[in-house]
Amino acid sequence: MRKLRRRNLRRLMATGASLSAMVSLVGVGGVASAAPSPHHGAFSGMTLTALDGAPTGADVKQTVEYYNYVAKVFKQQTGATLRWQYYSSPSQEVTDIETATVSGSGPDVISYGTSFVGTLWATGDFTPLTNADWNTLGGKSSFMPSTFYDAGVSQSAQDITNVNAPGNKYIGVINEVNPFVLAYNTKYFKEAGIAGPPKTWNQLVADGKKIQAKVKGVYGVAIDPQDPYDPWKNDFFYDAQLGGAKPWEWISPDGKVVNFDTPQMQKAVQFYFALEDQFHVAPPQSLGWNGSEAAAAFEKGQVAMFILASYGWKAAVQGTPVQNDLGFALLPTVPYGYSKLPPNGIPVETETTGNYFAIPKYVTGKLKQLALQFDKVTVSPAVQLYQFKLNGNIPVNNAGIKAVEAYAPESKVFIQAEEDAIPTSAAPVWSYVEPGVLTAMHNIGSYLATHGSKWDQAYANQQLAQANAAAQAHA
Amino acid sequence: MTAPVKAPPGPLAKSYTAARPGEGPAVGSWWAQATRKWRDRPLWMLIPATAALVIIVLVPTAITVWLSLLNVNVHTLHEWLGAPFYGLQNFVNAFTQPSTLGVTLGWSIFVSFAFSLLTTLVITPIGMLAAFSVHRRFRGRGIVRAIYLIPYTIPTFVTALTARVVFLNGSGLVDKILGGLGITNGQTYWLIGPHAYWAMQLTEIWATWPFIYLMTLAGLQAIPKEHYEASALDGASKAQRIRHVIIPELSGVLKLAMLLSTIFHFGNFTLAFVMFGSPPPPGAEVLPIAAYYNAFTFFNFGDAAAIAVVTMVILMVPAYIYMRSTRLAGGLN
Repeated sequence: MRKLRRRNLRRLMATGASLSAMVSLVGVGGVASAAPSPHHGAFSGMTLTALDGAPTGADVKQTVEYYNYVAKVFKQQTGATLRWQYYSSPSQEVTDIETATVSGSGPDVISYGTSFVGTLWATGDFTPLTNADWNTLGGKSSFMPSTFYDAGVSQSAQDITNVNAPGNKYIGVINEVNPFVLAYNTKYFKEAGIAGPPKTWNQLVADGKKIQAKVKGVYGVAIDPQDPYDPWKNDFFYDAQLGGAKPWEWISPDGKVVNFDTPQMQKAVQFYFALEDQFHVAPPQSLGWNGSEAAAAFEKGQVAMFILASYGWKAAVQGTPVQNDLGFALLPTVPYGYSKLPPNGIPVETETTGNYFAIPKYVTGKLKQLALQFDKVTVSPAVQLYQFKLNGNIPVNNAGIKAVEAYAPESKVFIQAEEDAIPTSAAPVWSYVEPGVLTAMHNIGSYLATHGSKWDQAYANQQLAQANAAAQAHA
Repeated sequence: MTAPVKAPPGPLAKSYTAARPGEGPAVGSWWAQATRKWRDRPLWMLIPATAALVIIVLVPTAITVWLSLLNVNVHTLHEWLGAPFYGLQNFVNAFTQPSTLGVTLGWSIFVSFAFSLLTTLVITPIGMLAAFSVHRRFRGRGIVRAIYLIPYTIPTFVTALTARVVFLNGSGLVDKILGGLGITNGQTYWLIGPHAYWAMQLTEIWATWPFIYLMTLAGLQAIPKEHYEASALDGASKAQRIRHVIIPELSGVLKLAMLLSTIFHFGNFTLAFVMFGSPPPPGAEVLPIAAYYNAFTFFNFGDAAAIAVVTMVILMVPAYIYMRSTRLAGGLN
């Protein structure tokens, strides 16, 4: 089994570029005043339109600041004007992309989230980036290898983890990444006499019980089976740890066979809900929670751990009772009931999400060059650090990582998590797989909630099988 | 001297020969005859409106119907008009195979019907009673009328988000009240499982009853004062006045309100989508949700179009009744 650790290699590659990047970052509040690039005059008078999500939610101000900053640096670097175009919902995003690709006109750069790449590729409206394009961005080796997993499609399962495989077609350039790790309440751990965060799922369950025994009214861990993302992610990493079909093999490389209904997956689902129905370390009401509600429970001090937390939690807990008690740790990697990783198991320490920019086929010539300059700006150390300061997004390349590590040492756990991330499948049928797994998880959670938390493996298996079959019908 | 006009051949020849003395020469009368219908009824003035109707309504409708007959997905989207012809397969699939969300189109139709009809049936008496309560003058009537409108003025997504908090199990207001009254154990899961439908239903009722209230109030104000006076002179009691004067006078506006209400609730997407997150529980999978997921999550535009066509056909029934009730249909005939 391939062990996906490339930390040391990356660090070697990173050293040179990072040092020079750091020099440029020293200055106004840690943000470089970018000097005009050699291309400055070549694009003067041109306008580039970039499609991205509208500033909404709790971080409106930060997102607006980020967009303005990128536009400012872009102007400095290229002499061209950057115009942001927004979508306010996933449906509008899809509509905008559909309209652009069908009509052959629209935004010059289109942002997309992880797991959407297969759909974009299937439209046939995005040209893979060439090696020359990547060289414009500093070369593939300047990026974290895991950031390529959702940048395009691969010919085989082996190629997915080989960035330089000739069959890989990368259409997206990542600009931000968000690895999810374990959040834990350091105060409760101390009160319960626990030395540090759990390394195995046995320890997590035991720690949860200890804390419940010592701290009255507090549950060990929050689950959020009704969230629109988290449940499939929990299955994703636990399934990989158990050594079943690799998560990137939930769909065959040719996209024709869907196979996530495996014994390991059934076990992954069972363990997730066992935190509530068997070990009783998750509160019963969490069967109805989504991510926000689980986070709220953590912020109120009602639970001691949450399984998929981003760096953004650091800002979110400010002003709450747990603002000084937040700790981050990599996810436990040894499944429950095992003393070590099972055969073929992968020590997955995270699940990640991120944002990419793709250039549609209709953008050609000088405009495409300008679009690449835009990508270059978004991955520049100055912008990466600025983004981290604003939103807590983790950098995507070596220079950015070095800058952020120097600025915020506590970010290291997230950077390490990102380095060890594993891929999902990029086949278009993923658009049925993800909601299928989510539907199964939602239904199983609902079943438990209405059946006195009594686990029914047959019902759970039937839900997974149904989701697998529904996805297979569209493969 | 005008040269004799030769009558054109065919049916118009008669009009030439039929020109009576004193009516002047028959020059152009065949043309006048031919265009009289248009001059009397200047239908050409409808051309802009007709063009707008064609562009805004007929073309999208035709495209939707055509899409429902094609296998349009993410692979074929780029050349969607040339996508493989699928016949009625999208409809057959939608009705016979559970979607990735685990339900069939038949289930979504059932949920939508139940949701819209039940909402209308419940909010009608509530809205009427509210309108009756503020029809007569009293001190503070304006304030009460304004308060009645509050649920209706709140955007649906805000209502949905609020409802999510209110219906949380254990800590939500509903569970606290019902648990405090001993009706439930205070630990009911309203947002998942079989109760999800009822949470959605109750929220919709709370948010939309002022529509019936508004329509009823407008109807009450349109009843001539003399009718009340006449019934008073005849010695009618309050109940008799409601039964024999108010209800008959309100029946038209009430029927219209109930129709519009049903159509509106049938198409409500936001409440289910925001209140339950993604994917929603089976009890909240109304037709617009089914169409949305097929189009924007699965990128199966053929199936989504089929669901849209089915929805359109269903809604044509109350729409036709609505047109008849407002005499539009009669006017067109």
